[in-house]
Amino acid sequence: MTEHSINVQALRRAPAPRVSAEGAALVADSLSLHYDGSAAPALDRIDLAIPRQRVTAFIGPSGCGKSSLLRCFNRMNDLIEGCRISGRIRLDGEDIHDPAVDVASLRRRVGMVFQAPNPFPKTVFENVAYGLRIQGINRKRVLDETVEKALRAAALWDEVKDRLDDSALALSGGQQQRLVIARTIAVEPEVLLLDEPASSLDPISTLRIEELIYELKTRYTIVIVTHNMQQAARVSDMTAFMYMGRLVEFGETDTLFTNPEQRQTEDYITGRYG
Amino acid sequence: MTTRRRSVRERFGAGLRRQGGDALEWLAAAAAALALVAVLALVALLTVRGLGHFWPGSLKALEVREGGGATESLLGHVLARRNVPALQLREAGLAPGPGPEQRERLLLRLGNRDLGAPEFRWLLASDIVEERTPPAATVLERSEWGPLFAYPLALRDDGTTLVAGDGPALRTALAEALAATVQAREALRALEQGPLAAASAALARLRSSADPRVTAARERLAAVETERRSLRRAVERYTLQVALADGQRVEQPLATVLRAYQPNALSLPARLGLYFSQLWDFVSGAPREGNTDGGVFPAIFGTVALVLLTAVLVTPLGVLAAVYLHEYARQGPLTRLVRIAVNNLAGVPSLVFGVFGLGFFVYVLGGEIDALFFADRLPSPTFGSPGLLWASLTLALLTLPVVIVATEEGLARIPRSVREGSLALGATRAETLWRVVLPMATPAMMTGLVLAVARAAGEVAPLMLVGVVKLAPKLPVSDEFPYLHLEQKFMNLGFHIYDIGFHSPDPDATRSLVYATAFLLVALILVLNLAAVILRNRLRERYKSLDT
Amino acid sequence: MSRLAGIRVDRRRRWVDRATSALVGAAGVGVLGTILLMLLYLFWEVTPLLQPAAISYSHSEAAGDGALLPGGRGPDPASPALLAGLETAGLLARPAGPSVRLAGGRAVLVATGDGELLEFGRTSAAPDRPWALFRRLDSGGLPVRWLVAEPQRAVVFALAADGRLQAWHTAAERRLFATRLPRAAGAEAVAVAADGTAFAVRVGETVHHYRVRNPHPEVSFTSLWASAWHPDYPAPARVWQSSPAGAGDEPKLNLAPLALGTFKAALYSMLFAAPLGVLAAVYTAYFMARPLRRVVKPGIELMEAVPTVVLGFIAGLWLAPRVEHALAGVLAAPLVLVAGVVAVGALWSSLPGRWRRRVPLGYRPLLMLPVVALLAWASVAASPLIETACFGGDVSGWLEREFGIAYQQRNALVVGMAMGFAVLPTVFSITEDAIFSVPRGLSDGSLALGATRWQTLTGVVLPTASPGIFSALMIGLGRAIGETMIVLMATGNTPILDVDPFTGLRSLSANIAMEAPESIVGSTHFRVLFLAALLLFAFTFVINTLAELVRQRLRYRYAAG
Repeated sequence: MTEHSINVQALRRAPAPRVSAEGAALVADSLSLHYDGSAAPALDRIDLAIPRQRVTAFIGPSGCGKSSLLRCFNRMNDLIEGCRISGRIRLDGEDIHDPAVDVASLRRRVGMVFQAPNPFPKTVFENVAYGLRIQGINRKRVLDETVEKALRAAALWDEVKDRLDDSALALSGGQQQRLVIARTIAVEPEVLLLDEPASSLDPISTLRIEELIYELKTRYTIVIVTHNMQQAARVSDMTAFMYMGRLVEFGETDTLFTNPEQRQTEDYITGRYG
Repeated sequence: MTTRRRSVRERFGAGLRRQGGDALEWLAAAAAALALVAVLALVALLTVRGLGHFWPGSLKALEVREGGGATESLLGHVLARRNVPALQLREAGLAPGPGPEQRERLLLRLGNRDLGAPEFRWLLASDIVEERTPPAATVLERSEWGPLFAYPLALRDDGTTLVAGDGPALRTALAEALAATVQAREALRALEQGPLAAASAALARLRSSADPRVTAARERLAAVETERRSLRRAVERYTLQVALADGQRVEQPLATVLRAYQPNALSLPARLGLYFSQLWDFVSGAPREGNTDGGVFPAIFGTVALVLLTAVLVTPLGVLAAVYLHEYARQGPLTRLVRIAVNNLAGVPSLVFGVFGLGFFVYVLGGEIDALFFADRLPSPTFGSPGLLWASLTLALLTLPVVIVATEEGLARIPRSVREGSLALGATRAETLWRVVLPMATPAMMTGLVLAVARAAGEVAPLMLVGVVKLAPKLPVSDEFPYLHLEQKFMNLGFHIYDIGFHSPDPDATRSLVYATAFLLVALILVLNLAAVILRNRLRERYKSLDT
Repeated sequence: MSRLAGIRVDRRRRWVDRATSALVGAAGVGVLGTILLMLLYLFWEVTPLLQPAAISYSHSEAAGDGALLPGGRGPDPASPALLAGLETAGLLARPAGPSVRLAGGRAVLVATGDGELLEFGRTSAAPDRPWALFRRLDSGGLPVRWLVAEPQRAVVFALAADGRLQAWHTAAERRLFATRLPRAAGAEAVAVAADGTAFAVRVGETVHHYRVRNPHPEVSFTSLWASAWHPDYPAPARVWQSSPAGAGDEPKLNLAPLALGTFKAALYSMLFAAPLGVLAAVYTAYFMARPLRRVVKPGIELMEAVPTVVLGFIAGLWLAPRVEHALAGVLAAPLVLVAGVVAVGALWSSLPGRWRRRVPLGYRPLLMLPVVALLAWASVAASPLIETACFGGDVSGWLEREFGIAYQQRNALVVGMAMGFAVLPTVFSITEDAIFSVPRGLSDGSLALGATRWQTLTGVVLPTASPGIFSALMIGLGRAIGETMIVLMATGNTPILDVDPFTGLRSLSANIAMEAPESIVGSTHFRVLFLAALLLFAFTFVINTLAELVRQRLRYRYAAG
């Protein structure tokens, strides 16, 4: 423990890893996050720029703050009581904490898929159409088209095209997760945040999700949090390693996995702790 | 303490210890069984007594000799048989004579309330000399004075005998005459309430001005009056000459007879038919003779109106309050306080709500409303006296915790991830609430609502303060503007039970009526509760897959 | 889709969002407000009882020929014969000052020279001593010159020659006010208005008028709770009699018999509900087979929904005569049941194994169902035998002889059984939940150490669930205290002051239900009924909060388990 603390102290002086803000979809600028009742910040002065139309993975041991960071990008942390944020996050140069920004519009632009599949207890069709309906789009033809497009994009169409009016809860776990992804891309977000999307799935479903991520990155900026380093290595272009609320290292996935700059990163990816 | 226990243990050894535990296990099992027995006994008692009320029992003709005197002939229903110690009878001033310690006593309903003798009578079984079930014995249900038990002798039409004797001919003729009388009675009632009332009202409107139409109106009224006279003649046309048990002859006009049957001669299907017809009359009819006879329709109607109004008032407030507590409020000390207060409210005696309703709703709010809107009618109160509105508001307050708690339970069952999923798609809080959360909580809300309705339907004590009456002249709903009369007092099934059970002039006469009413109320409430249980289970099944 | 259209939709959505927030917030605040309103309103109706009385100068006028106050009452002293009689009886030792007759002449208040006010009243205690000293009121040495009493209420005005005035309510032993009345020194005549709102004094040729504000003089701690001697009573007593029995009588509003009646009814019902409910819950939660439990638990809980008016009428009309008829059997039933069940259990255990295995532990209640029903029936059927054997053939006569209890058909025992039945599901349900939610691992651990099932239950499971059981009993008690209809219908509603099981009672709630509709708005009676309601509210609030806090502590303590 003491040893790590010393390392962290040393890190603070190390130059923050950066990707140029040019062409970045999301930029975090000295972002910190505190939960009420805990002394240590959950996120400590994170500086990060997430590139457009690439897959960025956050890795790190449990409780390192990677999910918290992800939830900052579409302000899901607003829902948690006693959560304070300082610093700035910019989406296409716009501060998302600006009072003029409408949270609902922000979340439409920055979609999110959660750890466990969370379909609504509605039909498959209504699940995907939900995001459109709340925007007041109720024309049958538009909905039909969009739903099909989204389901195709999520590689689910062939499996559910005859079951669109069945309850979404009747689908398998992997199908449910892809349905949730379809539901998210139906509203055409710019950024997709995936919070350990495959952690509750079996290996085959996990594989399908990974393939899907690979296909989706041509159209969306994707940020994925994962526990699984192989997964990060497989699907991501960029990887950020986080530890105890700090961003330790951020760079090209290949570089980071083969030739990490920081010793902590190396310890982690070689499985020495975490 | 421990040392003593140990020494006891050592003395009796492990075997006995196990046996002691065994005995206690048996006792616990017996306690569970006893609770079940009590529950089943209650249900059985209510069902048998409540539904038995409508069963047309046979009429017994008894020859009785009491205390060695002259023989008496009686005709009536045997309502109860009971064993009584001879000692108790002697103390009560009866002379049971020598014999066994226990004596059987019979409670007899003799009917014929208008003819002098008491309607109910206890008899010693040993005093009965002879017992028969004569097929000719007839029950005449009447709109006044309760039933008449007698042997029909002859049917008369305006004094001339149509049919005599006690054969089937008389029975057929009686049935026909009764049908004609009933028809005429209905027609008369319709005439009096419809055309007659309209004609006299029209005339009353015209009388002030010297209108040429007055003559026409008067003629119309006269015509209606003529029709009414002829109908009344038709109603009063027939009389039935009957012989009572003691041979006395009585003329019974059919005008007040509702139904006539020979219970001893009925076949099973006919008996069943009669049973259901009496059951229907009970549910759909109005009470007669100071609530000691007839049906309970106004009480059912009053209960349903009250409960529906309560539901309309309590649902929005309860559901929104639950949403506030669970979805919107910051989970701080204040919210905890509100939750404790709501839980406590569920434990506050219902009567306290009644007192609040009487004081605040009736006297304060009602008084204000009267002063503002009905000042012309003062000092006679409109809303300033107990009535339907105040009663349903009181019950709404009373059932509020039920709705809140049930809805909150439903909201708590909805996984957080579903809400987040909706928000992450760019839905606002309101959209998440209306489109995802509330639809998912609907079964819970329905459960709460049904439980609240069941609670409201069974509540009596607070109503006694805020608007229930033993006999309401009118239903709270009518075809007169504003159709729903919120200021009116109303009848209620629960209060009806209290009233006829404990304030009846003739407790023996109403006893089985109370059971029937109680059965009706309990059946209604148990059905509602079962519905709530089923709803809740369906909810749990439905969202089981979302539980983590 | 143009950008503008999108913005317009967003504006509408934002508006709906805000409106919903406002609506939901209003509902939350509304509920809290309503609860507070209830509490505040009840207080508001009660507080006038505590308001002190006051007198203030109104006006003066020249004295006329007639009475000081039209329709009012002047001095009305006791007859000298009566005072002499009191002296001979040794009741009045000191020389008597002015006196005034109270309660239509059935009591008299005498001022002594040293400033004490003595009330004597007629009593039915002993025929040879018809009068007794009811109470002494200490005026603090006021040299009373005039003593006048209101005609309707036992309010007495004692005026000294120097204008000092005290007003007392004698039965409540409450000094309403003590003041120096302006311009009243050397009064030559005094009078009080019939309704007690005005007081007049004649000094010389001038009459001074005073306004009196004194709406609820008869309420004091003494009158509400302590015993007081009333005319024609044999001894001091705590009496609730809201409609006066005779002329000159005031309503007697002592809450003690009602509060005692409430607790008596609750106590007897808990005697039934607590052991039965807890034991049944222990079995259902811990031993019973799951499929059976799924039927039994909702079955018993459904009984919570049976309207109490139905239970009350069954208790009053069906149960009460039968209990009276078979009293000995009913009293013997608990013994017969316990002994019979234990005997049957022992018998069963000694059966060969293949028989015993037919009914596993979890299904024993099914076996017990006929046993219990049979035992209960047998006990009641054997009632005459028991009666002849133990009570000389007549239990109620025996009770009368041995304990001086006059058996009443509708009594606390009947209430206990009926209300016990009403409370049973509450106690059962919460206890069952508490026991059932004890983690299985705890009892498995105990069993693995070689403890028997029953040892595990009493040593591990019950202590863990005890806060839940406690809160079940508290909530049951709260329900029993507030219950109205059963008490109303299954007792004679006699406000008496004893805890015998064979006498009737009147509870606070039944009393309110009977009297509130006829009570005059704003009268003392009305407000005392509100006080009773507030008491009920407070009782149950305290009890329920206690139960809730205990339960929350339980959850906290075993959260880790």
